Amino acid sequence: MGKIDKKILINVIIVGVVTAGIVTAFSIPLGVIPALGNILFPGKGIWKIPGEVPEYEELEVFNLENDVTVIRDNWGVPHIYAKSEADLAFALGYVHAQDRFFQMDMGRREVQGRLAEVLADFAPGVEEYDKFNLALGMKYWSEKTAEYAMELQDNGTIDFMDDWVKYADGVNYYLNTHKNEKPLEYYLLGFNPEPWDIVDSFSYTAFMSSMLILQFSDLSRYSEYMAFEAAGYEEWYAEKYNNIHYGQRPIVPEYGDYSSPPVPPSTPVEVPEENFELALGFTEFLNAIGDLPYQKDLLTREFTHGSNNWVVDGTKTTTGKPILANDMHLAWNSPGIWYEAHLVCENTGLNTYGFTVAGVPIPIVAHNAHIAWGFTNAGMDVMDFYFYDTINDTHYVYDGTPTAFTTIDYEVKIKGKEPEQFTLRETVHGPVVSDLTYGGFSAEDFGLENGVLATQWTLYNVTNTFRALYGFNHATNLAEFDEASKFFDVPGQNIVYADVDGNIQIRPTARVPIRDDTGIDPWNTGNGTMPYNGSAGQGDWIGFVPFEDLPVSTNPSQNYLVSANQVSVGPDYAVTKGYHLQPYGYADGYRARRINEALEAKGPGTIDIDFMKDLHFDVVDTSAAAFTPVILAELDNAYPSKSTEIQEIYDILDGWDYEMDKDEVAPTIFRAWRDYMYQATYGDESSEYGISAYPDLNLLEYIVYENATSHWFDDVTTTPKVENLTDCVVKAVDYALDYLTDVYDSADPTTWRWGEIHKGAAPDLLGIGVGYVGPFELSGSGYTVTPSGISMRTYYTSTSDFRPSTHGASQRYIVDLSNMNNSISVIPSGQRAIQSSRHYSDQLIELFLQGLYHEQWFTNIPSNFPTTAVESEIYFVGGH
Amino acid sequence: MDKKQLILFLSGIALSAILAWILSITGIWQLVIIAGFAAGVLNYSMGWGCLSGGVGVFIGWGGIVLNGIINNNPAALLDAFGSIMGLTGIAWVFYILIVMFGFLFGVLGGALGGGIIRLIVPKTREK
Repeated sequence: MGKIDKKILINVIIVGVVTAGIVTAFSIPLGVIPALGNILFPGKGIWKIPGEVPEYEELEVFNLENDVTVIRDNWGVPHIYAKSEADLAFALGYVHAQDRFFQMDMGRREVQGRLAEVLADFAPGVEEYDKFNLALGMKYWSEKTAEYAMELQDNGTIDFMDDWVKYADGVNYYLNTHKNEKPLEYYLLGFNPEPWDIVDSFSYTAFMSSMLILQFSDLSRYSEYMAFEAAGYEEWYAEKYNNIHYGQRPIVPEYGDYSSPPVPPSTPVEVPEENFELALGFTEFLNAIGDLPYQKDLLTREFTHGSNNWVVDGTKTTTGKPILANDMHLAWNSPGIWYEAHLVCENTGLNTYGFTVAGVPIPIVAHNAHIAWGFTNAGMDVMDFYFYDTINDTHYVYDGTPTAFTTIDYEVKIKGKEPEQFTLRETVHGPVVSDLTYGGFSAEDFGLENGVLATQWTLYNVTNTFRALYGFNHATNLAEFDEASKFFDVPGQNIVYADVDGNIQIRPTARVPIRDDTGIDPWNTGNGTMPYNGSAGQGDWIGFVPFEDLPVSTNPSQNYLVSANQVSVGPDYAVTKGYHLQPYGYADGYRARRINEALEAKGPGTIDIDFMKDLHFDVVDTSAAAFTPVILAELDNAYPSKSTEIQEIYDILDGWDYEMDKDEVAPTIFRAWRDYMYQATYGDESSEYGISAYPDLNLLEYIVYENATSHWFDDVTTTPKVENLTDCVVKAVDYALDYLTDVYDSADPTTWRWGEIHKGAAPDLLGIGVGYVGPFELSGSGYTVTPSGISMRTYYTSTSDFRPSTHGASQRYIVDLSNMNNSISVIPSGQRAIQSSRHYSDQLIELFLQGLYHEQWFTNIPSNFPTTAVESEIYFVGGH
Repeated sequence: MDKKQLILFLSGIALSAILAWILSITGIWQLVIIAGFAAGVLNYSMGWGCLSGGVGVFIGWGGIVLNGIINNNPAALLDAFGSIMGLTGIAWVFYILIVMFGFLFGVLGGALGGGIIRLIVPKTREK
């Protein structure tokens, strides 16, 4: 080798090393930073992610019976036309995967305790959440429900499980034919989609149900009861929880109303000393649960996980036929939880348009050509807690008898770490949840010598809800719909109904447990409202409220029905039926009050679609309407001669129409006052006695109007002075003004625009900003028909400290039973969960935030579909 | 540069640009080194090879990026990606970085190709 060759060789070696180094650097992930080359460089990543679906596709599919046509409209909503429902399900699976697969994947992983497998880098500690979800039994019971469904299919009870299998086939067909087109999130997290299974579809049903019924309030109520006991104010607990029907308009109007005086406080009872230790333990447990990822919100949220639905019959509408409206309030995300779809089957006559959850092969809320329905959460208590003495790690005492725990072994995979083995212990009632918090929760923490805490809930069982949904979509009249409703067991929902025959109905329904409360401790308020002593055999579930005894209202004389998570029934229900359907867990009724008032005020033949639209987007806060006159009256009382500052506030509130308009300042003043009024009224008891949560707002309204000298107004920390309503109102005004002056950095109240602090946002599913939409200014509040809730923390010092609301209406739809083609809908995101798609957030930006809806193009013949509304088509060639 | 070298230089650019585009279809971005390498071999020079390869891959990737911008709205994806690092609205920075890295990979591939061919071919001639 000559001299020159040697020099070249050295240069080649140097370049080779540099090349290898740079290529390697871009090919391997570094910590949470994924392999950048795989995301950014042509050939992979963002260059292979299709922003939009192809304008036209023709696909030969070997296991389709016949051809299937999918037309996507201008909003990306698929209208699927097939000859059989199995083919229909296949195509729905295909388009779900095409638009939403990452969302589907995360949903099943959450239920199945498999988030840490892919998310451990981004969310340290997420394996504890996986264990928590495994312990709640959703994976186990999803699998059991799938087995149960297949048994029903095998024994001829049902005949549609083939459709669910075909749905999974459709999902997997898409995944297998588009391996290089996975969404951005897969590149970021560094894993690949796995095939879909029928169990995954059942997992998603469990995911939805848990979101709506999981709650720990039995424990907090117990702790609160004991706190009051310790302070010697046991009657306050009863007052707080028994008076809260004030202003409530029950969903089912046939069981009386709550216009009579509130229930008087119960007689105080003796409480054993060990109960106080147990209460402290429960409080600690709740704190530990709050440390789990995603659980804090569950413990602290405002009641925006609600919903509205209402229906009016033909006597009130301009068309002579019912109109039904629904908006379910859930977390806002990009993408949102709902995926609109229109399914038409030529052979069976199915023609249904509605809101599907990607992962489930059938619409959840929808209308077909004959009927329409909608949901709100019913808030029934279907989850109980039991505490026990244990003998050792394998045995506990149940009903006085040593009993062995049953166990299930799980392995939780953790990205970048060794898997963790996890053994779930179960009692006769359910999983031992006290094993689950970070590092486990020791018996001593409960104040129990060798004790555990377990839970029982209706989701800890097989469910028949999938049968109800099938029945709803196929029902052609009220009788068929009622028959299907019998299968709706979880989650408890207020199901509103209307049909083309003119019927309207509302039915709060669920599998509601009946507890054996004989022999329970005298301090226990029973009916599942407090944790039971499992070792004493208390509180066993001995059955469920029969479907026939659940409340229902059909074609009521008032000609309309409303549910907004308020109390389901009036006081007569418990008397006539003997069941305490819903001891707590309902909203304080301000949204329901507004909707009832609005519908009540309309005369015969006056309600049309436009009225329903306006009501959906209504931002009148009835709590403001209730309290503002009190503020003004008390300011008059306190200040015969007002300062300029007070007068300015007074004038603003005096001229207010109670609309929580983002461009007005009165909503800001009222909202700040409300929080400080709460604090002035209950804050002292909270800190002094350990009340874990303030009472519902309607109790405050009750004492404001009915008992101005209530003990709650007295500041218990300032004896001997006894404060009254006026003191609290004025104190709250003063605090509110100081607070707003601080956060707005202005003493001029005309600058305190509500929209500046009241904003919304739709975060991405991972919560790391990959497609975060927002923030956007919002009108409304947690008490308006248009719901949204922000926290107004006392420690905020600037408007930028306020976090946007990420909850609200997750869909809206209005169904005109006189002509289904007039029906309209909207979701607060878009159909397609690909950030570069025009359908990623188009409905949110262009419709939802503008108070608009889109047409549904409800035709059952594809050739009748208006060509101007066609954006893309898929033609599946079947019959091979 | 004589006419022959100029033709080789321009041919190298064209070859590497085309190869960069074709190889991107495989989904293995690392193969882009081959595009630059080919230009280097054609130029029989590390210097001209790296320049030819760099410009060629720059053009090849630039075309892909341009096509993507026109047809697939990658800006939204790049913004989403950038937001993880707290950066939003800077998709154009990513575009520039991507084609600049394409240029770099072309340069490296070209240098390797030009160097290796010089090491191999003289040996062959000696035989």
